[in-house]
Amino acid sequence: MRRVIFTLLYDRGQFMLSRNFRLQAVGGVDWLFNNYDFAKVSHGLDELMVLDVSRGTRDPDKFAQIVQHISGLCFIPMTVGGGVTSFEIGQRFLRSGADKLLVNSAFFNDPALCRQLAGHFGRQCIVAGIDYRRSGQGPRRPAVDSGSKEIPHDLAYWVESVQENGAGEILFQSVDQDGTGMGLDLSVVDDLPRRPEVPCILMGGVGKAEHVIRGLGHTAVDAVATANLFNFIGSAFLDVRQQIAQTGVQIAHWVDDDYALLRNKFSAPTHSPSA
Amino acid sequence: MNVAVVDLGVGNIRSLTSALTYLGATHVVTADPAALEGASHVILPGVGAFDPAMKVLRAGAMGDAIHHHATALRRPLLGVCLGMQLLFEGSEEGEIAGLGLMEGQFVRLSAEAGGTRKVPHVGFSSVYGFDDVALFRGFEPRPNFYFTHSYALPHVPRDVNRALCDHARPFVAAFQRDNLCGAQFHPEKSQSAGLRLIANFLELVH
Repeated sequence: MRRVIFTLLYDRGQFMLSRNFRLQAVGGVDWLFNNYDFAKVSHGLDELMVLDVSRGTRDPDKFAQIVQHISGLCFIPMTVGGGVTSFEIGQRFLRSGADKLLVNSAFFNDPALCRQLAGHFGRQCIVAGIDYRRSGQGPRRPAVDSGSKEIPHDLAYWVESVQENGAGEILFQSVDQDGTGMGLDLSVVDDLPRRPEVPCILMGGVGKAEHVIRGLGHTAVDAVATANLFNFIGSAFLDVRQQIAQTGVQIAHWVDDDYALLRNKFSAPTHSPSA
Repeated sequence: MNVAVVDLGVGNIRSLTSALTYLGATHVVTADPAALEGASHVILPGVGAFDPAMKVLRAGAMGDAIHHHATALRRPLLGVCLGMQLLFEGSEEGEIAGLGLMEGQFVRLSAEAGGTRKVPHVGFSSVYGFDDVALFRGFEPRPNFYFTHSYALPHVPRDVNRALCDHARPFVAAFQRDNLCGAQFHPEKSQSAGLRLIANFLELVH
């Protein structure tokens, strides 16, 4: 089945929008939980990603607390990443409610760590994030450290390398498309000399429902992710899923009304007997 | 109602307790076998490998406490993912015997050569072939549940009610035999369908 993934970008207490990897704060943690009906949004998702994209010094403890809180709000698998620079940090994210880790720069800086994480938790637990830039129709160049540093490998080599070092999925993120709302870079997987053996997720450029539908209609694409907090509010993802199902693409379905029916089903009555 | 969630110290059980909170079910998370005594329902979650989990169950008296709850008291017990596997006789993954509350052996899933069925089986899949039993009430046709596993139970005896899923071959996605229940998928990661399965379990009474 194909998947729709939503990504929350976190930077030192704020949730962010990103454009070409430049960040803009949209609201604090309280805003997200109080004014943005995150639980409702999650009813239309297959998975959630929560990434610490802090450009300054990261605070993994605080971030893990927020991850823990978010994991209590939605009943779907969750991928957590950003700053997985040690086994302990990865383990802490998993204990905070993550089902998978997104690992990006460590595949370049410390591939042994990636192999260790995959060996210990299983490769299904490791999503390799590959950020890349492209000028015109030139080659796509992978970059690490929040897209700021190009690495001396071409994309084809890098895709093989992350798979050899434990990746169970690959998230392809186009720095150029990021936040533009102009659509996904649909041909990134097709242009590889060899199709990855692991599921491929595309992110960067989703601006409207049609972009998600076109992405998931592409045979090389297993999942589409978007980080725009405002493009799909309320039940917008549920509508997108219906449209995807109508195109014949296999996508999971749930009975949304059951959420309201089941909430507090077993709570003791709160009213006190009248005197 | 007082639900006890067994904490084996492996894997993350936070989503499961969040699901119980959502449903409004009073619950405790415990590694103490004595805490199972007053429980109306016991949930045995599990993520990880078979033998390490069985060692934890055997090292203390938790395995005995679960046995007592399920067989002497005949109160509802739900095994989730690895927790379901532990209720059976054993698994190809391990050498240690399971709790043996149910008959059956888990085998490794087989990948299709050149196919799309990979091992581990990860993601939402359709579940079908529901027997008519309380645990499976109220689902739409072929509901979707989230799986992540490498071992599965190929079949159950005729007197066990089950639902199936396919991964190259059919396997048992969930079962109920009287007060004993199991789900190979993660109901706590399966949107409203998973919450419904947990709610159905909580409605089972001794």
